[in-house]
Amino acid sequence: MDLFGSFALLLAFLCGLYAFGGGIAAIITRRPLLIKSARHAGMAVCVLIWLGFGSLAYLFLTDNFSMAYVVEHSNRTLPAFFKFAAIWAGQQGSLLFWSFLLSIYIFSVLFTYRGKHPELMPYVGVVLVGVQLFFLTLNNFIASPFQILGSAAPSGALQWILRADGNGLNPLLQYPEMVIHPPILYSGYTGFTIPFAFALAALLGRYPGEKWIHLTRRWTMIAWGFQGVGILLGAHWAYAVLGWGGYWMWDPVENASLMPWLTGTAFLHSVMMQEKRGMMRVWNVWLVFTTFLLTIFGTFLTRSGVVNSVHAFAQSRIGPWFLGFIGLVLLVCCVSFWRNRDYLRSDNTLDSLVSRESSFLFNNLILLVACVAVISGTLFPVLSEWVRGTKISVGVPFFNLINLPIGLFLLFLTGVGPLLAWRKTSLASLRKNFGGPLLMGLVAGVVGRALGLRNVYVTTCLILSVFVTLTILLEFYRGARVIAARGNCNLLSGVAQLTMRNTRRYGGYVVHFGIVLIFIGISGTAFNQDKQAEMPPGAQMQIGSYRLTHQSFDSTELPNYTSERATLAVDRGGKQIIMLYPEKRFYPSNQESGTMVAIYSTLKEDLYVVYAGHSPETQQPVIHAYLNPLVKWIWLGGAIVVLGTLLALVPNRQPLLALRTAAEPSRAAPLLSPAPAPVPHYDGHD
Amino acid sequence: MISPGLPISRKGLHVAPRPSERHKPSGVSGIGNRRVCFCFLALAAACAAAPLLAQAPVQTTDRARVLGKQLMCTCGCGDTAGSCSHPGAAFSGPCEVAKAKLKEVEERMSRGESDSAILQAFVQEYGESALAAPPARGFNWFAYTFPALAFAFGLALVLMILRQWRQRIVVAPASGPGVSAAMLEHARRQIERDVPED
Repeated sequence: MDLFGSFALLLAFLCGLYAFGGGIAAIITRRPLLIKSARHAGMAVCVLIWLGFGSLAYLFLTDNFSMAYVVEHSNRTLPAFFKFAAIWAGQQGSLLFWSFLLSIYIFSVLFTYRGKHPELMPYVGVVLVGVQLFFLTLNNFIASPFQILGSAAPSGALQWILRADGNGLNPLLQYPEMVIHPPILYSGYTGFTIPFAFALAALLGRYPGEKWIHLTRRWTMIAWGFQGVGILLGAHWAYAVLGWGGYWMWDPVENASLMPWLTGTAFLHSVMMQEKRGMMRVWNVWLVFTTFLLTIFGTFLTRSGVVNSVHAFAQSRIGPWFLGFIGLVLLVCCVSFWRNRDYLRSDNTLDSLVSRESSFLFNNLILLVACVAVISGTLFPVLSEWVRGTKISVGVPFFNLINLPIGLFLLFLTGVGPLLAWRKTSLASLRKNFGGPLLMGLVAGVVGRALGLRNVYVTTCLILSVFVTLTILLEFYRGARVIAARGNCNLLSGVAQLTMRNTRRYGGYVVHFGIVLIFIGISGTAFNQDKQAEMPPGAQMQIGSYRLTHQSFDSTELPNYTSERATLAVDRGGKQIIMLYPEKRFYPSNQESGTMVAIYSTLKEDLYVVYAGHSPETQQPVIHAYLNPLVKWIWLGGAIVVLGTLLALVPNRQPLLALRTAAEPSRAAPLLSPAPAPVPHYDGHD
Repeated sequence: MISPGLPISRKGLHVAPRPSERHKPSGVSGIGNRRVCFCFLALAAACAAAPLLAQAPVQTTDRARVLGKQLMCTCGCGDTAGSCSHPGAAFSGPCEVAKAKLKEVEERMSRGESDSAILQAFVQEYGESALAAPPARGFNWFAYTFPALAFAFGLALVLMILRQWRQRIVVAPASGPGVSAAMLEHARRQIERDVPED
């Protein structure tokens, strides 16, 4: 099976070379048979990668310890669930996993648009296969997961070695979320290849109009959604496993995932200007290019060892390959842009500074500044060492200082942007849309201050959260009220109808509301508390309004690990509310420990308890308790962002009456008399 | 070790039983509207109240740990000395490195040194990498000002673009091939209607 996987990947590489070369020849010669052949070769590449990936999965699941990669990341006692996840636990396997996910996207695109858009698709195919070829080069020649353990026999021949057992999986990765988080995050990273390929293809082929934007809208949203969920799942994993009481550390690997998400968000917004007004063509093309380049750059950061990170892959010789690829892609983008820049000229004008167009420009500016702040903070230690020869650390205090004001300004624009009209917004409309929410936000701020809220950022977050929430609710309310009045239905039904008539717009509002909840959750960090104490059985600890009593202590031996567990009774106001079981695990295969945090989570706060192990000095069990306010709002907000994204992906539902009119002409007259309820049109209409 | 009578949530924790949600039948439009309005208001109020709920009295953490959060732990955890949890180790923090740093901080505090003097002493002893955020001086100013410079540059660019777009609207009708602004507007609206959203 090891040879099978190797051959499959090698064949995929050769097929990819043909698809790439044949695709270019097809573009030049315009021969339909060659176009079809290149497309089929591209699809064959995908199938071969799936076979290669399947064979690696088989090697893991069957404990084939003749393979170096399997030995390094698995062992016999590892549950099958984690054996599968171990595929992407190391450099080589995760690169194959990247290829695997990319191939799913590529196959879907080539299959979905087969025979369609003949002017565009040959270019798209060449770009997609080109990217896939880069990863196949790594999979085959630089970081192959199919290396066999071997040594030289006395005769000089190569002797295979079969190890009895493997080293096991890193304990930090033995958590159910780690089975889900990397695939979802990688689906985001790889998904951005699709809009990139279409943008570059449209530029190279001078494909007319905004069609490529329409074609890639859903692909971009899917990639963006995956990236966002992946980031949140990563944060949740860090929160639930690392045992340090937080969820975001501004680690280079976390930052690497945030950067393309920020530019992707900017693209999702500015693309509307191109669709609606034919504006910002150059900008959008470069936003897509930048987003794609940042996904590769993020991977370079994670894998090259250029920056220190807790969960980066080991330093390897892979860095220069990524840098070379980034340089090549940048060169192709620049040359393509320079040669075809006249095609991107936009001819629209701006009627007023107070308009949706301006708000999108500012939105893009702030998102890009946030991205620049993250990049500069991440790379500054490297720059400092290079320029001054002095190593410095750029940690949480720096990133918080820089990014908090940027984030709050972005939150403000989240409320303002959607309610400004395309072209021009009147003063009366501004007053109508923003007066009430702004006033209520300020009232909330004043009440907050009166109740003792002293932190400026938290107060600002409170004001803006109320403001943005109310603007969103008002948008739903006004639209639904019109539909409810015309359709004689209740407001809730009106909201549902309104949403389904323009899913993209109202799905976007739902996403914005989710972002508000995430901001509220983050603001809770200002009030975090923690306490660490030695707690032998019978000892008590008070944190906030909770009293923890250490009732008992037990240990268990399981095939994969041994576990020590504390049993803590949690009381509040003299009433027991929950039992918590924080756990410390020891994995003998790799001689490492892991924590299993116990969390009592409410909307108000999380009681987060870590059993830290035995004190090295006194050998007494140590409990570290954290009281983290509002953390649940972050996960709730994340769920709402997902819901909004899914909603935005649903096609619009046309008003029923209009459909009937078209389908049944004989009944058209009576149906037309009560005019179909129009989609309410406000200044802020999409 | 599972106590009977309490449901088990994920990660094997007991959670207190919650009252089941009452099913609300959909009412006639007027009552429904009031309910929806009430829900909207409740939602906005919840958003407003959340940060206030969070405001529990802040624990008086000892000064050494607070200051320790401005010093990097060098055990490889990537965290600060004041919050090192040393993932993967037998004891989940603070590790020996962090403990040593916190001990040194405490000793210096007991000698009456100010926070800034202590941080400075660490910089002299271990270099600037001892601090969790680079001191805002010299070349490090670049790290702090770069986002602001990027913002200023971007803002200038945005304003320039806006100005160009504004100027075009004055020039365009005069040089247009006999097409009135109203016709252009009509055509634009038509295109906006015709261009599908999906």
